[in-house]
Amino acid sequence: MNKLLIVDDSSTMRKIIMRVLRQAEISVDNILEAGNGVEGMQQLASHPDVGLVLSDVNMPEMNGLEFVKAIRKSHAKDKLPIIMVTTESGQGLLTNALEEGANGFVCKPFTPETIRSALEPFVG
Amino acid sequence: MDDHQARAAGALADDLRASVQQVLTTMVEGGCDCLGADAAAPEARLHAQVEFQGAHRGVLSVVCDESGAEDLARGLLMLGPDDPLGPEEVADALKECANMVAGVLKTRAFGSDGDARLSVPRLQSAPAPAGALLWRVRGGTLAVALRRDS
Repeated sequence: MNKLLIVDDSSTMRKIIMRVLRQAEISVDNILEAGNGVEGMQQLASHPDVGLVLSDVNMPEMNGLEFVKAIRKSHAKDKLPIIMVTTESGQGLLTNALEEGANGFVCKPFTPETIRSALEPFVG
Repeated sequence: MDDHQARAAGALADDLRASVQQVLTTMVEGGCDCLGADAAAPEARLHAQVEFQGAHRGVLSVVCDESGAEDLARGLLMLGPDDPLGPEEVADALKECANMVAGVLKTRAFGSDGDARLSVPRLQSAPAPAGALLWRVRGGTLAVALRRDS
């Protein structure tokens, strides 16, 4: 995995995810950050080699579902996997996100094992 | 409050306690101890709120004094006592804690398909609500309360 993009309006959660990725021994060369979907799209435009996106759902400006929808206009599901990392575990929300093109979910709070299981299919 | 309302309030309090416990034990290095509702509430310096909107309306509050909020942030970020930590990081950690507790509580109390939506967490200046449940996190004290509006 060359580049991974973390999109979350909480800088705390972005740091926690980075720490958990290290604990889970997931090897990533470069981790990019964004505070909402708009910034996430800007990061993807600047870094077309991003190989995996982790995104929150409940964010200002452009929320996670809108972000997934925007990504899928230009990136196929098998080319750029998106994992939603969310406190919202409602079945309706999860189904909506999958229909919009998300590849999987991690619910907060999470352990390193949870992150590893969710990301394993997408990282080398 | 009749018997039915009292039972519902008791069940919600149990859900709140379990939700806080789940978040703090999973995400905070060093875990936590529940002090109950009778210990002295912290002086409100930082107060994060998440609103429940939709059929189940209410407000979840997480309140700390300054040292309690810093302890919580260091626990979430796995920082030592001498690692640098700014006030914005402390405030963001408190908001994220409130966000996670609200998310877990929403599923526990209202079901995964319940008609409840969560606001983005924000900071308030109000004091800790009466009857808050208190937790020891590292050296600091955290107060958590849920006010139901419907």
